[in-house]
Amino acid sequence: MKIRERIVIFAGAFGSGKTEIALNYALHAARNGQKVALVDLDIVSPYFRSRDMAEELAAKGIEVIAPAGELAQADLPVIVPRIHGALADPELTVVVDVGGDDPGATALGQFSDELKKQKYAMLLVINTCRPFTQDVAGIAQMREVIERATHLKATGLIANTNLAAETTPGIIRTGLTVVQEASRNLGLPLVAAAVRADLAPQLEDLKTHLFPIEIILQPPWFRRKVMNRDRRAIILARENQEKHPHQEQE
Amino acid sequence: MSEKLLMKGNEALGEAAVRAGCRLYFAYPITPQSELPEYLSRRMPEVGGVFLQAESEIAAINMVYGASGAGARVMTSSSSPGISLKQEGLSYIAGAELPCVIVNMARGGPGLGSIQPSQSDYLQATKGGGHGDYRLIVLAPASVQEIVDLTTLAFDLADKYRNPVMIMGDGLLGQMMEPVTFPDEVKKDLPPKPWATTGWKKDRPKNIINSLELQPERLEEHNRHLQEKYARIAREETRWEEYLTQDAEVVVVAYGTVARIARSAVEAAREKGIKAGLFRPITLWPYPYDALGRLAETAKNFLTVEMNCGQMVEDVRLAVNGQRPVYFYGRSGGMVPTPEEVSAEIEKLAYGRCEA
Repeated sequence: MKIRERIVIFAGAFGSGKTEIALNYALHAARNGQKVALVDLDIVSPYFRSRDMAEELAAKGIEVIAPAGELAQADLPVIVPRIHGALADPELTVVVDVGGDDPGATALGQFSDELKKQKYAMLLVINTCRPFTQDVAGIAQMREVIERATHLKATGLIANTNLAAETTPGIIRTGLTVVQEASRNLGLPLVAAAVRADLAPQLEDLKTHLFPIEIILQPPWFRRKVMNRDRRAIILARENQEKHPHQEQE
Repeated sequence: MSEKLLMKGNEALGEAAVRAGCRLYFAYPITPQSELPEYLSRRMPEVGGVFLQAESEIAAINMVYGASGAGARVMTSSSSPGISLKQEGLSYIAGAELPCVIVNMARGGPGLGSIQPSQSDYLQATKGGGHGDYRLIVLAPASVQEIVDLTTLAFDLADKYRNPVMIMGDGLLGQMMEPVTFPDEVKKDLPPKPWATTGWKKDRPKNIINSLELQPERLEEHNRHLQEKYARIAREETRWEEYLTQDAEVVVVAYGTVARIARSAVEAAREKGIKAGLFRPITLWPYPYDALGRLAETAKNFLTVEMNCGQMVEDVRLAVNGQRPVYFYGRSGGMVPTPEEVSAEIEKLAYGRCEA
């Protein structure tokens, strides 16, 4: 995904996938040789935050700007001063991971004067499988409240329709149609469709630019990849259990 | 069923409550369940319901008492420290036999603790955190879809038995996102509640809702009635799930989020040829003592895994009743056990423990 602007802000509805896309974009930019800082500006989500990946990202040369020490684990609206320095540094690619909807995006508002003096991209991440952005009207409302909360104008859309582990190419295609319609109605360009990397080969016919992503923040039971495992012993034990049910549930 | 959505556990619980006919929700925000009031603050006005942010958790639970007494389907939610504040109200609600749903998305304790997930409120929920001989029905979902299913069930059980029902989750379950579907129809014909205080028009005896009974004979009689009800609930509503327990030599016992982790560990053990299985209580009260006890006939060892310092393990020991050794592995304070840690514990039992 090529974005010309040095400052790239990912905003959107709560739970739309901003953090995964911000993490993936930061890694992508770093791989392309850019000096990257990732600003975790999400002060509303207590879990699954980009700051949880700070060590791993630092090892790849990416600076994560977030509250330090135990404040990283607090449910407090802490905004660190380093953000101002990063936004002003012309050498730095700054990726901003914003909190969801208008309550989350409010934290970005205080930087609006600084941002307006620079070139920035503010991309709205849209998952049409989320309850309040299933159609164009919902997406338009989301855009309105976020622009009002941030005092900034959105510059583009990123389609990110998914059902987590149950995502199929069909679900991505259906969602993309809705986001394309939103793009026309709202007059905002569709910058890319984020798709899980393993599904990308099945979507190459799409005219939209694809941004393949790896899912980084997972619950603990997903840490082992299922596809690499020999499940024969499990299948056998399951079959035995089905043949000789120990006890009917309930 | 509607089409699938991707939702956080907290949001899905809110939507499931709306579809179960809940139109009154009283709560005070606390991490990690605040998405629930956030969601219902948006959703309740759409369906003609009310979310009222109370001045405290204590106020919220007593609003629940009032609304339930008037016959409404009503819910409150909080996380561990806030649930502690509600205990007096819960005892009154149980004593007055009022149906309602209480949600605990538990976090690390004791005290103010941390905002990370925990299961250290098990004893408080199942053994009575408030005073007096009372029981909550306690449901422990392990996925976002099961949150939806058990929320629907919670409202029905509450009305059926005139008893408070707690949905016991943890922060991780509340925060994680999974695909869900909801029942299509919003419940309209809710069961009649002839006992409710809906205004007296001289057409029936007066309904009085109260938990005060000064005459000891009558209070004892009330307690006997409650105990009979609890025994009936234990007979009819005990729920659990078994996974690969048929030939299991090591039975892992875990509920909620930890059951998901334990399932991964059981599968890893099976891949190594270890006969491991998972027993997952779905109702924490009533506890599936009999079903778990039966596994002692085939199992050699039991391993309880919890996100606390050892609470449900007491019930596992009661169920196994000395027939087999019961071991415990736990993490606390908001630390989440990994599948690798649980696998290592299973292997220790399968290959013989090194330590005494």
